[in-house]
Amino acid sequence: MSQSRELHPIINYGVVPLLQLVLAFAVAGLLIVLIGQNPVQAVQLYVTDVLLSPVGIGQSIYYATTLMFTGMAVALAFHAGLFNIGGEGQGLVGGIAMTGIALLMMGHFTGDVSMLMPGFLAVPILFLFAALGGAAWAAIPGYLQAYRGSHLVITTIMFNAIAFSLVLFLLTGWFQNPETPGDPKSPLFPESWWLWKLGDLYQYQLIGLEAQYQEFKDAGLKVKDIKAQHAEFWDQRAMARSMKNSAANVSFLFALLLAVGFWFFVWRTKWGYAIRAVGFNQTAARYGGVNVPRTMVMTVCISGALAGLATTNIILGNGSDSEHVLRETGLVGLGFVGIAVALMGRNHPFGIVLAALLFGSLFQWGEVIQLKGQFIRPKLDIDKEIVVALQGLVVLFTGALYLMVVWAVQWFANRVLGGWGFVKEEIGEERA
Amino acid sequence: MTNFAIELNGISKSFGPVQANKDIDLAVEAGTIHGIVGENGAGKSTLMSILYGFYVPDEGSINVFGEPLEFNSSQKAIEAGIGMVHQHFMLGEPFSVLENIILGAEGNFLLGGAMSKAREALLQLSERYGLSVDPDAIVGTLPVGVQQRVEILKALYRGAKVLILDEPTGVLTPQEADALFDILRALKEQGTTILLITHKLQEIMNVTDSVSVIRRGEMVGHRETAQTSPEELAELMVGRKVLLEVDKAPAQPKEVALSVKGLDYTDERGIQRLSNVSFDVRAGEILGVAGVSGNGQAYLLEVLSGMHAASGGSITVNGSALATTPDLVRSQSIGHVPEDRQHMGLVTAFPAWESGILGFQASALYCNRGAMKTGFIKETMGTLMEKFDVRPPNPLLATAKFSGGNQQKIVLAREIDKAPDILLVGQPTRGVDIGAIEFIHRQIIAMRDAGAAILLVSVELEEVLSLSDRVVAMFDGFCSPDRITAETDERSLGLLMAGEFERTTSTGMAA
Repeated sequence: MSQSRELHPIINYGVVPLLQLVLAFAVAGLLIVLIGQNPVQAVQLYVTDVLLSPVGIGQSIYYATTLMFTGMAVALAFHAGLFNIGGEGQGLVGGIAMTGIALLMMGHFTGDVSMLMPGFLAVPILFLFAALGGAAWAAIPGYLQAYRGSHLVITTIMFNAIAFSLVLFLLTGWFQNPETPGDPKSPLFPESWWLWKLGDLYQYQLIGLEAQYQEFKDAGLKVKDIKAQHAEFWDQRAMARSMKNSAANVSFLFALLLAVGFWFFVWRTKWGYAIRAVGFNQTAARYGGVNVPRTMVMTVCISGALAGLATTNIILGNGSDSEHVLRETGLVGLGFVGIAVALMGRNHPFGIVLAALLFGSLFQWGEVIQLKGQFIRPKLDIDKEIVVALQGLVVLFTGALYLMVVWAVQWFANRVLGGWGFVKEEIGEERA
Repeated sequence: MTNFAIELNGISKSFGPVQANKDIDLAVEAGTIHGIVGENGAGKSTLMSILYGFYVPDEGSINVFGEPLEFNSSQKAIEAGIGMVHQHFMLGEPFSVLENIILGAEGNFLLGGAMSKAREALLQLSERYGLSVDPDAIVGTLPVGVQQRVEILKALYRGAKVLILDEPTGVLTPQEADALFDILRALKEQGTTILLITHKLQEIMNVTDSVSVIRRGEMVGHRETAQTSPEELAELMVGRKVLLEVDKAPAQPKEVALSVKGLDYTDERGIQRLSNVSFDVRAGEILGVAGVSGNGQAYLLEVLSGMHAASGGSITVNGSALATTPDLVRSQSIGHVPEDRQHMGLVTAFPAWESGILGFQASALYCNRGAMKTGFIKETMGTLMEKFDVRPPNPLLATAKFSGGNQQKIVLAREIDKAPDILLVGQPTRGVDIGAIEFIHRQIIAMRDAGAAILLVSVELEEVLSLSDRVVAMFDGFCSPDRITAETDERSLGLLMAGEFERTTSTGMAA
């Protein structure tokens, strides 16, 4: 007997995740109360300094970009029934490959700078190498899983450790920045290679605006006169000044394009078909002429390439903490958060984009709480690690306790709403 | 007043909007064998699960020997004297018979006492009902028929006075089934009440005293077995007249399309699954492969469809050697309807249109440079589903949402539509309703008449006998010499199925 327990998609994909979030926030609020702080203040900061501030939004998008790459990396492997938790390692090796080719172009090894290319040529090459590096690092665990039966979870997490050692080895040796001995980092990437950020647009605008401002000043106008007489100019300048530091960069658009490509690849190509068939039922996939081990290796490689690409945003992007060098910190944990993003986004690119934006804003919230909490009155004394706790709660409610919420909603729909909210299902007739 | 062992009064049970049982009344007289028949999904299993305490009904009550039965507790059901023999045995294979019998009824935590007590009780039971079993034999080494006997003894040891048997003959040879029926009659003589759930009408006619028919969750009739016929029961089950015989013209066999010679297959664990299998299938004929489930038929189909590589022997397809992977085999114009549609033939999580192209997803018909022709596929699949009477003919519906028969029709539609030269068919009607069986059989015959060579594997002897033109039997990985179906009968085929033929390995050794 088939049973119709399926909730309407709007409830399943809209109301349920929202409830899960509310629950996670509620418990996090409880935590804040427990450490003797005011959760309302914390939420206020989230609204004013993350959601409504240009810098906050830009910074959130910047984090979200990295998370979209790592989230899609995890999701793709999920579709083949594989759990790739090696995003961190694949990101690191992507960074190594990318830094390697960058240093070669920069003449770090040879002193020959003739290969130094302008950004529009160099950046695609750097992206390519980041992807290749990630893919190569994923290929080995992928092969071991597909042909030798070693569990991907075990091998990828071991490969994270190996990648960490490898990058430290390189950063204290061949890749070491000669100007900072003792600090394991690579030389600075040339500024012309940094990704175009939204702030750049305002930066250029600001040059003109500041010149205009100087003209007003030279004409003997006081600040309040300028404000009063040239309100439009003043607003424009204020906007440009706050936006010039926005970290959102062109890579976000690339990630969005990639998300569309992800959807097309998984649901509209024979390769995606094969991947999903393997994920749902390996026997049926084999029956259907799919080379199961080869598909697994291919999927894990593409997944690794996505994780490798995440590095580009860390090194070439412009977050508030961007150093434009390769560091042993790699994806700074965003590879792991990608698992949560994929989980919450239900392995669908649309969901992943939304979840990445949410998690990105949470990271920024953590920064704001830590930095600004000290200066507001009453003082908000919370460590930014509260965000890690909140992320954990989100994962708990969207992942581990996912069914709990679904059951609660189903119960509510059944008992209180009298069966409203379920899909009216067609069930195959029993006779011919 | 009659003495009823089981009385069900107005039992209803629904899962979400699906009504599995609707207001079911059933009274089973003590000391009789009562059959319950119905199509797959009619609600037989749900009803028995309620009786055995797995589900709580929404409405209704149950009396066992006049006493009301508490729901939702198998323990209570066992105490009331109900025992269940499941279709798939619940036995610990590495354990001895005795250990299995006391499993869950060990008494206290030192086994010794319970063991010797159980041994005595077991011997008494064996004697009383003529169920001879060696108490120290390891269950995994026993033939299926004997394992079933252990299940029955297990229930009796727990004091069962009412025995429920769920599709008990699905895994037995005809001879083993006859032996089972003798046991059931002996149990009846001793006063045990038996509920026999089956979809095989011939068994109902052979062994039961009375029979109840369930259709779509409702009880549609109670009959005294002596006063009914298989035709009437089938009509009650389906709700309309059913043709039980397959109507077909004599075969017109042509050249050999598929030739198997001395085929060996050893699986990855080193177990020999196929030994020296040889047969030919000609274009325009159906070769039936009879045999009890688990005697190598599944491996035969998997080797022939390229999923496993043969370890020895030769397979020739229209004069050339069989390809080595499923996709290459498919391009040799071999279609394959696998035995297990849910685990092999379909991806149940896919919508029907995606399952409907499994195996052809990369073909130029459905795929253009890697991109699937989604719109075209959905359209084609809709038409195809109409043509094969899949209900509902909605290609967007998840494959898992279709009933067994309709899932099978999706597989058949996919494979038959490509008009392959050779069609491998495994258990085409397993778990399929009587109404759909008729349709599926007609499709297979039509394929044959259109000149395809068909290899039909089925554990339903009746099906093999009525569909195939020639027939072989498999036993323990060996394949018997072929017989002309028209010149053989159930009895002699049963002997072949039990291994009564000369078996030699490919190295010439007698097995």
